[in-house]
Amino acid sequence: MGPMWKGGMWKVDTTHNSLITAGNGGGTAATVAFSLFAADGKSRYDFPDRTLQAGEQIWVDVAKVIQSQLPDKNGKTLPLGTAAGSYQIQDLDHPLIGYIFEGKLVLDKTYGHVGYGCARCCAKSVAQYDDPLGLFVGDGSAQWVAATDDCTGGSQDVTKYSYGWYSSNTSVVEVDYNGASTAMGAGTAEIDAFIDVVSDTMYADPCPTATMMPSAYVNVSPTITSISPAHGVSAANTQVTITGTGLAGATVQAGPGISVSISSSSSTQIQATFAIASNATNGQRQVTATNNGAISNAVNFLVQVPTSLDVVSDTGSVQDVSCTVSGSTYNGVRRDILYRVMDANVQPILTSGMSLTESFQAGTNSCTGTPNTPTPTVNAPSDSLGQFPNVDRLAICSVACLPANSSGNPTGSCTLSVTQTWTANGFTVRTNQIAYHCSSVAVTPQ
Amino acid sequence: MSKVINKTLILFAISLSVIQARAADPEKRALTAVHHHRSLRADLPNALAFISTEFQVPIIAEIAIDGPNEIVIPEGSDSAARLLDLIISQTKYNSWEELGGVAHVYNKELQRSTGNFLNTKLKSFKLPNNVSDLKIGLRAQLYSAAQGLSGTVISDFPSRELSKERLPSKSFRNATGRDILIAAAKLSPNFTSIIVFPRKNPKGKDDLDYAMGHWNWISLNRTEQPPAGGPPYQSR
Repeated sequence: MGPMWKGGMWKVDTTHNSLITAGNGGGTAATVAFSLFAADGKSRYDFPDRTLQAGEQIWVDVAKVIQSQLPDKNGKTLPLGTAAGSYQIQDLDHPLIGYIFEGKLVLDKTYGHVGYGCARCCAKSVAQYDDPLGLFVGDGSAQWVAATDDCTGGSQDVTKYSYGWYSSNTSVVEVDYNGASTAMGAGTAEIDAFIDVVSDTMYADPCPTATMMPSAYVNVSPTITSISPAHGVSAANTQVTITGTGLAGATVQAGPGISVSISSSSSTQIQATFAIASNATNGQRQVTATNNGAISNAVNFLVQVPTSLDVVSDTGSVQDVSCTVSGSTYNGVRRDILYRVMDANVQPILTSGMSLTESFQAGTNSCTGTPNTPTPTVNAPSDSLGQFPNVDRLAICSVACLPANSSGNPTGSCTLSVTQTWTANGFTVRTNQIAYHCSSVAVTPQ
Repeated sequence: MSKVINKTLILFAISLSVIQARAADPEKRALTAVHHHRSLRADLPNALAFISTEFQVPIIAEIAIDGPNEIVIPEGSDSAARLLDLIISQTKYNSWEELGGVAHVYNKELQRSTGNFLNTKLKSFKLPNNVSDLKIGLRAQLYSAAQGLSGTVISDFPSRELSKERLPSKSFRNATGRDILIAAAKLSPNFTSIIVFPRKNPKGKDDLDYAMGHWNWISLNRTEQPPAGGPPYQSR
């Protein structure tokens, strides 16, 4: 208790309010002068002087004083929007030994942080650091608490005074009694603690201890450590396995052109089908998993659009085919070409199961007795290298190539021309002009 | 105790006899051998492919797409022959026969059809030295012969697996495609060939092209995938 307290701080904004109290701790009545200051003393609000009987206590809601614009005893108000200031309380009847005591509560409406102070004590606000705290499933964290002195603005770590930590949702985050937390599953939880704060005294009397409860939100996100395969091809479905943490029940986002269908999920793995649209563009996508509103890190998934065929190997014309035509035999030729499918960036599409087809358009044919186009082939699936599983063998046997000379080689000549068109998953990837001759096979482009 | 031992010996003797039968008579081993198999719901070509690979049975099939859409094979213990009977019982126009260890599955009407290129006779045909070359050469020659032509022009995929299946030297004169195909399967019982025709009375080049494009080969020693560019048994 004392005759006057001066300089206590208050705070009023969208998330804070301050309640200031004054009481008569003496044995006789006392007249109290109570003033609020703001804008470095340029604004002042003087409550009407009031007589407090012994043991009587009054409270002032500072936010109401400002918002109501009720004039003080001098007809003045504190401007709307005033956010902080100080105050003064004086015992007008007992200038030497006052009976007035004082206290203050600063409320944080967002997180429930509370600062407490009294007349001769500087209030302290306590809060957990890292609020909200972002963790990935499996992460460990030691949350800590800081106290801010409202008089000096100084801050100090008071974690060692905290106790009784607990979590609002232990399936999201577990926290031990001392504040060591472990992220268990994706989602949001609140962790709270108790802390006993002793304010610094400005006088010899000890300041009271206040028990506060700082709280913080913890957002735990799922993680993706890998996706396999990390690529897929347009106009096809790709079965992918996503590995990580916090994935049970998660949804997956894979970016434009990809529809995701999850077939199964566990905490560490998701099996999904990526249906890649035929009009999906070539390029990287960012794949994320979302669980209880928490979004994971992103991993890359490459969408590849079949665009061209690259020649892996080409034997050229090789004369090792035995042609038996109308009872006569000669050494025919073959040419074996191995292709692989490339994307729009001329990168190989390392995907098995692409449907590869060829079709023909007949050109000129002077090779007597031969069909105008090769025999239709069964569709061929690509292998894991994006290659045709086997070479495309080109050969011709025609009676026009006869007779054979003494070495068995053809002496006749003819040309059969066709246009060969390749598609991969429905995309036209290559058109060849093929000219079959008796002793060579020409392919354009090479 | 002695009864248990006797039963064990009898079981052992039966097992041994099965093993010996397999070793001694490879033609019969696959068609009659009984073992547990999974269930299957598939179209006819895929059901045949399943039996062939499950029991290591060479099958030569000439079937039409106007058959049943789905064959049902329950899980159980059967032989390939028993499952072929089961399949045939679920189809209306098909039959099968054993030809020297080779299961020949055919649509009865298609088998007699003049539009079936397997009825086309080749004046002369010499077996190449492996099944991959047979796949390419026989197909090309039948394609030409079915159009009344003698020469061939090829753009085709050799098979690494089928190229490992060797064929002995053998020449045919005035033999049908079916005769050649079944003879090759007898000589090298490690492949299956399933041809799907668009109808049981195929006519014209479009039908010929369709069947040629749906002529599937499977190596029974395969590590590579059989051709799988869409269901072979699709409707047109």
